[in-house]
Amino acid sequence: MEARRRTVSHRETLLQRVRAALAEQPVELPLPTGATPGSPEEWQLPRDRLASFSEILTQSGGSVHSVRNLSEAVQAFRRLVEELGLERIAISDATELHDFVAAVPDARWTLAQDLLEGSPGREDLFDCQAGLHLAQGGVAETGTLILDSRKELHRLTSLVPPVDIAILWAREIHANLGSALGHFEEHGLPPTLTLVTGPSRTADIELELVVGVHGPAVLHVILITEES
Amino acid sequence: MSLNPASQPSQAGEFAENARRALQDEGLRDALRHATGLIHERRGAAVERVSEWPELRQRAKELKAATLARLDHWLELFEERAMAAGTQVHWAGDGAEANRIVSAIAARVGARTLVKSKSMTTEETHLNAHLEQEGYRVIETDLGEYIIQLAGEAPSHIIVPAIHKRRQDIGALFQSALNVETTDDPKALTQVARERLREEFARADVGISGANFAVAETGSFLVLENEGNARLTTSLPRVHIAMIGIEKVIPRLSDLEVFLRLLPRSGTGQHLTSYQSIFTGPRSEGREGPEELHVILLDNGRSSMLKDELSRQALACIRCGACLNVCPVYGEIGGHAYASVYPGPIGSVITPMLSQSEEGQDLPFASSLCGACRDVCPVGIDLPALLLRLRSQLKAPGGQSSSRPEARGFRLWSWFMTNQARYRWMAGVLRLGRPMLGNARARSILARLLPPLRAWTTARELRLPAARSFREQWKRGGEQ
Repeated sequence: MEARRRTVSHRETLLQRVRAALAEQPVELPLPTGATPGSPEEWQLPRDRLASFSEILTQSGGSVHSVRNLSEAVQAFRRLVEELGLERIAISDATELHDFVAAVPDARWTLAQDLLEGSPGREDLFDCQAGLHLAQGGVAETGTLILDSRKELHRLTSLVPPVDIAILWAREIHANLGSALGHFEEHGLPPTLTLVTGPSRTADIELELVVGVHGPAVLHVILITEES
Repeated sequence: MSLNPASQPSQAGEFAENARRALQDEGLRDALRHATGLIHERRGAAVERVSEWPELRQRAKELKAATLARLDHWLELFEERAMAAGTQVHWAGDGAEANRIVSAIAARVGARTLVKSKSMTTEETHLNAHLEQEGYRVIETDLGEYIIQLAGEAPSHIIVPAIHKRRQDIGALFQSALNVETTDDPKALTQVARERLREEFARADVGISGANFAVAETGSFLVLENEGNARLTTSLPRVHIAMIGIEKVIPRLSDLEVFLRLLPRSGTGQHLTSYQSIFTGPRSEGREGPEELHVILLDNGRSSMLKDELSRQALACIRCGACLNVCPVYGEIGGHAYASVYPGPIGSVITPMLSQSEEGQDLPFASSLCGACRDVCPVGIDLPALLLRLRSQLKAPGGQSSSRPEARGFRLWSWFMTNQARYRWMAGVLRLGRPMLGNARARSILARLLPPLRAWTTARELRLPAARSFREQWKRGGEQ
């Protein structure tokens, strides 16, 4: 009871100080409304959004592999596994990925369901060479992936292993940041919404770019272009 | 409350002395010139590609002004929506209160190790020192912050904490602090930090972050980064605590768009950083992420800056660092000389304004008022106007409004300058003295005799008066 009263008064004290200060020069200002200046026009054609997304994500250090459908995506994934010599792979709980596991049966797969708090799987995660998951959306303007923590267990899968492999359907690509945010304003936000634009990087030492710091050093996006 | 960073060789209130020392450090000046020049160039290239840059700045400026004018409303809405999402919201009047809230949470969950992503707000409250005193291990995970934590130093730039260090310095530091082979290759050094910090991420009980923006309508907050350390800090431990200055609140989710267009470009010249995380409540049952999410809303002097329109502008700062990179003063002496958590132009304004004591009172004088900072500020803060106002309000170094001889000198000068006849008489006398002043030795003797002139001439030439006044030349219709 005592503690709660103290906490309430911290809040009240702070708000009172704010109100008192504002009262010294009160002013009513309207919030700016309407589209943000220069918001690139909604690309009408999905293929324009796709092109912009691919180009800008590539410029940002990601690799984009365009395929027509899910089974081609599996093939692209198998090629990556061979190219990169992947043997230990973390995978999210997305059911669309069952075919990917079946296509590489010899790999040691670490399941996201086994990575939850206290699970023994967590140590395996740090040993994984790559993480495979879906992205719930993209942004054409900025070459960005959108990860919605409500829809899939991919928070750690997409973050800890040094190689990140994301599957994205091109039809989920929004035109720009405004429309992407608008989508979540309408449908509500998950506990964590993560926007990914390329691999991790730093310039903290003499401003020299180093790619691959705490997050993945390599980002591959397998982009599925089929309409439905 | 002290904004003076802990373990800081530079002394608060001794800017002139700190600056003199910094100017003698050639290594520091090289590092700064290289780094600030580079970021400023990258910023310029990024901004040039955005033809609507002036409109974006204007929109951001208006948005911040409108939000701050009703800050109490937006803070209450933020709390309501955040709590509805399951976030625990705490209110801290000052840094000490904020620190106590953090250690109370750490104690309750039985934490031993805490990891942090970069947060200037927690530097402001000296959170690390407080937690360490209470017996916790606190590990900075941003590479720049990790470097200065190992060095026992304070950050010297708002977004590139170790900007003052050359690669050789960092190599030597890692060798002695971490017992690794000496290298000065940034890639190798980064790899060392990555490996060491992964161990800490894995064992940490609590993750502490700041936030770039807090969204009132959704009760969310956003953290921007490139390294991935903030994602790890806020995904692996059971508890996530975010310390957020009250001025960070914006009304709507869609308002993030204008700032996401402005901040990465202004800060590092990127169109967007590698990662943005938007947090709205802790995880649901059986999902990934922290089971507890805490937000600490921090005042620490910000409310006092709401008193009028001009000082409210300074609260619009989105901590991009562009003003530091363009400032001719910061660019020569670096952040430590300011002896404050926030250096450079913005620091020279907010340090004295946030401080409850007399900190940073010499900082508004640490400026040539060139205005370059105002030109690059993405939210249109009129920094020179704020610096001038602070100068008139604060005491000059020395504790008096100005020294008596200086005050007398200026009164004399203005007596001559405010009357045409007296002015022309003075100009005539100076011209008569020209032959004598033409002698360099005579000039240096004169400079030594008159203290104000001596101060002036330590870095400047004492110029000769012109042979003919402008009026005379004009009358004669041309060059002399």
